[in-house]
Amino acid sequence: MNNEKKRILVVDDDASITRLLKLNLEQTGNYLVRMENISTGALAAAEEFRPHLILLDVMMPDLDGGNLAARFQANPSWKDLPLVFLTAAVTREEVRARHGMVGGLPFLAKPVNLHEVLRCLGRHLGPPQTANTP
Amino acid sequence: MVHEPPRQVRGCEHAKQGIADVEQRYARLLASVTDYVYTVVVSQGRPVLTSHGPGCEAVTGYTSSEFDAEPFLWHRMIYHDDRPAVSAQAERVLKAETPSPLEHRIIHKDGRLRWIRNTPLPHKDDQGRLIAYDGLVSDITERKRAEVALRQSQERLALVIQGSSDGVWDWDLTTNEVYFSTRWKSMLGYGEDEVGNHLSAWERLLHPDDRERALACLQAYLIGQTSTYELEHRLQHKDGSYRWILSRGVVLRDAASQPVRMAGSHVDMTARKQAEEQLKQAYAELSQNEAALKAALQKLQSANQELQTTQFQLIQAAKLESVGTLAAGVAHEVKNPLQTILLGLEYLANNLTGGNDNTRLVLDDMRDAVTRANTIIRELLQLSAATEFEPKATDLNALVERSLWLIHNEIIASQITVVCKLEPDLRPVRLDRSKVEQVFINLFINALQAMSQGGVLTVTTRHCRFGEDLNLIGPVFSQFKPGDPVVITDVQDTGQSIPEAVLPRIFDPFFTTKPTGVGTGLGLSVVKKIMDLHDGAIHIRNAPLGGVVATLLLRAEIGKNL
Repeated sequence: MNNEKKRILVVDDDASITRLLKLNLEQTGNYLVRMENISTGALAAAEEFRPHLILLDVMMPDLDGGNLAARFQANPSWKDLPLVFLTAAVTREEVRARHGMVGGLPFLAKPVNLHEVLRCLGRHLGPPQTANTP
Repeated sequence: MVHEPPRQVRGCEHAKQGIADVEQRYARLLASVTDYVYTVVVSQGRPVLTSHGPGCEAVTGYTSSEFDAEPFLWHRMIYHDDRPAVSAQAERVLKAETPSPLEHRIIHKDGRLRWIRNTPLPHKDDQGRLIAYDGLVSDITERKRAEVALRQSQERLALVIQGSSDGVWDWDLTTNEVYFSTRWKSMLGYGEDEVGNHLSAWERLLHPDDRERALACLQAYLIGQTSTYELEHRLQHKDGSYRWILSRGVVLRDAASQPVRMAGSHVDMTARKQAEEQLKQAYAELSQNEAALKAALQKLQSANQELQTTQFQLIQAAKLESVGTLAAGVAHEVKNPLQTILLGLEYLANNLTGGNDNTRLVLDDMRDAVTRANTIIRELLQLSAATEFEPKATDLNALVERSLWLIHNEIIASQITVVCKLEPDLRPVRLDRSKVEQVFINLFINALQAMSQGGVLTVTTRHCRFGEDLNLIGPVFSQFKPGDPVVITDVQDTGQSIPEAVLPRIFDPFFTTKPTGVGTGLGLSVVKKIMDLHDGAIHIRNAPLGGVVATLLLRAEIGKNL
């Protein structure tokens, strides 16, 4: 079953957001979500979980999203891994105006609704294969 | 029968009367006598007989008989201090000299001291020998007293003149000779001999500007027009400078009221005059300063008022700025919880079992609320966001419509009618959307606030080549050349006109005609800045039939499609 579902690593110091993302995304039946609230542990979590995509916040204590992304990209094993920023630091308008890319990386502006998240995931990972599809 | 007295008797009566008359006359004469004559008979150089004439009683109090009875009476009468002089005179006479008259004192019979003048006249015989001499004795007591009094008075005057620091003058009007005291002359730097004792000496020293006035003042006093003489005038000092002199005087008139003599004083009042002048200047300066001070005070007061208004506006702007700075931080802090709520609502919505319509409604309302909260935060962020200028070719009509939509709540609340006359196929304009959106929103809100219920907001768009529309002239459009393709937007309201005096200032930052606290006055200055950024223009004027119209000019893209 795990092979059918795409694995998403969500990195955000706000536990309620990670929890809700997990609940909402997993409820679709298409995704498996691992939460990571401490950004310094994200790399290790990724090692273990081997996600297909990482959703990460920018403003985090100790290691912010930008630096974390840089670390992932510096690592040869992760350099092709899609990283999507989900952050309050930009506005929806800015994201739209920049076609979803800021600084070369895809962004989602908080507060984002589920539909936007799913669309973004679909764009990067391909259309989801539901459990019900043969 | 009445008998006439015999002629003899009548003649006798006449004679008696005559004698009585003579005696009376004589007595009267005697009473008025102040002189008498004494005679001394001289033999061999010595007086042998002295007889005093009848007048001696009037002068000395003693009769001739008394003198006859007592030969040394005369001597005894002489005031003892004067005896040596009298004796000396007598000696000289006896030597057949003719000495000058001697004035000396005698003691009258009544005990009082009298002054007499003794004038001896020697008589000589054919051989020149002295045989007698007469002496004319005159009572000069009154004259003497007058002399003494005069001398005392003169001494006093001299003392006074000496003691006073004033100059003294004494003018004899009959001769025009004038006595000038030493001090009078020295006050003007002249020595005793350097000023003539004549009225002309004074006249010569008069300052030309004072001459007429001085002479007129003097004349007026002399003819009785004025009752006192007080003249401030300038006289020339020996060193060439002029001194201010205060002259006062009094005139002496004769029986016919003609002025015969005038005397007075001179006081040097140069210092006083200078002080007066300085005081006058000081007062003038003071009142000037007072006037200047008052003007400055007024300026200060109005500046203070301006300051207070500006201060308030600055505080508002600062608040806005700090809000902006705060906003970025707050936004982030608020957005996360909003995110949680939104995602939570999604989950709840998806996991609702059972068909409770109210629950769905509740969830929908909550989702709307989150959206609204997010909008507010976004707008707060926009205030502080220093976004770059990103012009893109845009359909201005769409932007107008979107801007109207963004404030549609305000439009509904104001009950204003909106009329859009947007030119179809409007040429695209290269512009920064969010910024021009801000321009429209600002203008629309201003229009709404200027109108009361039943007003009309009209928005028109059109394009043309600059120069074709003859209404668009003036320095505000100076950056456009004839032929430039332009897109024109007019935003017109039916509200109050802007006072002509205010019109030039409406784009000034912080300038607002709205009551303090309602507008920040930043709106139009921001609008102007945005138009400048786009190399466009904005012109606001009062519409001919009332209301205000704002005209925006933007450069159109040539031959480009959206």
